[in-house]
Amino acid sequence: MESDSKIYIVVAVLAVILTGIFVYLFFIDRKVRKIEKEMKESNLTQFEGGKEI
Amino acid sequence: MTRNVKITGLWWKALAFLLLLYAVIYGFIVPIPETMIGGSLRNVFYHVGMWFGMFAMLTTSFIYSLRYLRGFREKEDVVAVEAANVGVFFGILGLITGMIWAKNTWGAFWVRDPKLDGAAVGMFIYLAYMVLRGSIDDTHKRAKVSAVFNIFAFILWIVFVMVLPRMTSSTIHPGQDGAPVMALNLSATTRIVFWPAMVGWMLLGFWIMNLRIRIKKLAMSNEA
Repeated sequence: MESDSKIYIVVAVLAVILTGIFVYLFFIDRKVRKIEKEMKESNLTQFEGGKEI
Repeated sequence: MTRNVKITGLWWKALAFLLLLYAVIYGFIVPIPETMIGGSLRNVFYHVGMWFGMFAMLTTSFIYSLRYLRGFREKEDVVAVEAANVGVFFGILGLITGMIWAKNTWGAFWVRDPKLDGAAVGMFIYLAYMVLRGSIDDTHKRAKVSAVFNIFAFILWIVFVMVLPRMTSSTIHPGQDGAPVMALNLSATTRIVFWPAMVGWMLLGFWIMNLRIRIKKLAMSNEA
């Protein structure tokens, strides 16, 4: 590592950005999962023996 | 009404994160061999990851187009198109990151080189796939025609991006036989970052693809 160039600051920034992107993806995934469940439940009530979407 | 919603496939999604976090941190620390491109060699962990990601997505798209043509199941067409979408996204990032590097290494954003031109042609092939899909209104017809096109597209992409640049031996792009820098043969220390990074980028692609497919299916079931 180029120790005198303070590159470690950039590494920290990149780590934060990457973590942020993954946390964001995680919450999008959870939101989609929630809608999937809701859709499945409303389908089950509408049609008897409703199939998976 | 807040329920505890658990996401599926958490282990490989978490693995993608850990691998990329490792690559982003250790990729700057790991000692790299002395070459004419200096510290910009570390780009191999990130820029090349875009192309691995694109390759993984296009391979998935190709497989699902083949599968679609065997049974005409709409689900498989959805996978094929969303995989190609994410593949193109990676490809655009691959081109942009490559151009930044090229400007600083060769002095121009783009140079006449088999590897670069092949990558550009490869992108156009998949843009054509998207245009083709957009031009057919009938769902089944669109799925069938674009699945056939996609099979040709993948083979052409392999030829333009992976085969032809290796055969010309005139490329100056690192990582090729005869090129000024053989990025992939570098050193054991470089490889302990390179391969985990590549797996991480590919898994990230699969996650985004997975989300796109599920959102598309929700939208489709909402229309029906």
